[in-house]
Amino acid sequence: MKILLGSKTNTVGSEVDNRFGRAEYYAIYDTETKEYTFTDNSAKDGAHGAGPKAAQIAIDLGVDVIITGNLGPRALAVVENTDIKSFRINGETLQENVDNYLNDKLEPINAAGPSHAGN
Amino acid sequence: MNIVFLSGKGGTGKTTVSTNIAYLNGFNYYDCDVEEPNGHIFLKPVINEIIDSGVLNPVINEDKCTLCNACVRNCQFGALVNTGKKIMVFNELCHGCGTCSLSCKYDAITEVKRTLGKVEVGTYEKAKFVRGILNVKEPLAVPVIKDVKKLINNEENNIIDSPPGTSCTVVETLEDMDFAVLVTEPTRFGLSDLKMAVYVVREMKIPFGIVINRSSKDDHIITDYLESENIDLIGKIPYSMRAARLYSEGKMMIEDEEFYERFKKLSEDIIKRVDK
Repeated sequence: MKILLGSKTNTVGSEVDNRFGRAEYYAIYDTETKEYTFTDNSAKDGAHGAGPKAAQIAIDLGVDVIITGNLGPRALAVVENTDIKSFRINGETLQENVDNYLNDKLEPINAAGPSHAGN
Repeated sequence: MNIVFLSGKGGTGKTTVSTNIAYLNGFNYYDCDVEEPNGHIFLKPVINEIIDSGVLNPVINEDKCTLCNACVRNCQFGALVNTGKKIMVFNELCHGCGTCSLSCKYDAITEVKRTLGKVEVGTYEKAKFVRGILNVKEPLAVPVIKDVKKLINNEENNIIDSPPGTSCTVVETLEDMDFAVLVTEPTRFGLSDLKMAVYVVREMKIPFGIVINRSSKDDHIITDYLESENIDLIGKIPYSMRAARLYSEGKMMIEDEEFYERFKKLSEDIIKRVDK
């Protein structure tokens, strides 16, 4: 299973990035190999529409779970049309959040947060 | 002949200057500041036609769509998302460029017009008055500006009131302009945004000059920059309580004797430069 997290840097010890569409990087954790891979967030620099673009990145990467601070209305609408499950961040680092997820300590995201519009 | 009035910073007096110059010369007036058009307050036009303005958004025929992803890949605005089960369309992100429907090999996309605002067409005195109005909550102003500009006859004398800023809306407004008047104010904010506006008109190779509105002892903030960049200062309008009062009452500056003379001179100085 693959888990996508917003990440402030592209290193394993990184803090999570609360923002979904405008996260600096995405960390993808593979529960089978227990390894992280990182990817640049090509969605983050646009004036509008980072959320759905980021959701497309998650779909294209074939992830099963998204862990983020919040999903905006458009990103949530996309995710709800897929089998991807989304959970709210609880913890500072990538690993804390992965551990919390694996121990059922994260809350699912059911309602959209406010639109960031780049802020 | 098309003369555009822009500023970078909002609230420097684009509309004050452009409406007075238009009125003095009997030139047509086009309000491209579609998010907040206010030239009508001063020119008091009679509107006799209202045109619906909008953008073409894609509608996906799910029976024909194969999820081949061509439309999603080619969309430059992230308005389409392929969830693996269907293509989702985000109309408010769509710029109506039509690339999705061109790239669809399965004839699965039809384009349907979505209204963004309207264009009002009328007259003031004996000249044409046109203004675009973007609907509240719509982020996409460029299609409405395009619809305003379609009505411009380049053979006539036209004043175009630009939106503030230096983004797509301003670039769209600046297309086909013969001369740009950059209206600024002697403040740090005025200068900062003026520099960006200068950058845009230079990039678009449009001849331009500066008008300092609310001119005061602080003018050096602007004039130091103009001298260092060798930019043409066309004229100044003084900071004045009387001007503020006229403005707040929706009156033209030229209704005041002293301002009439100033605007007449300013108008001549602008037109002299355009004719060169």
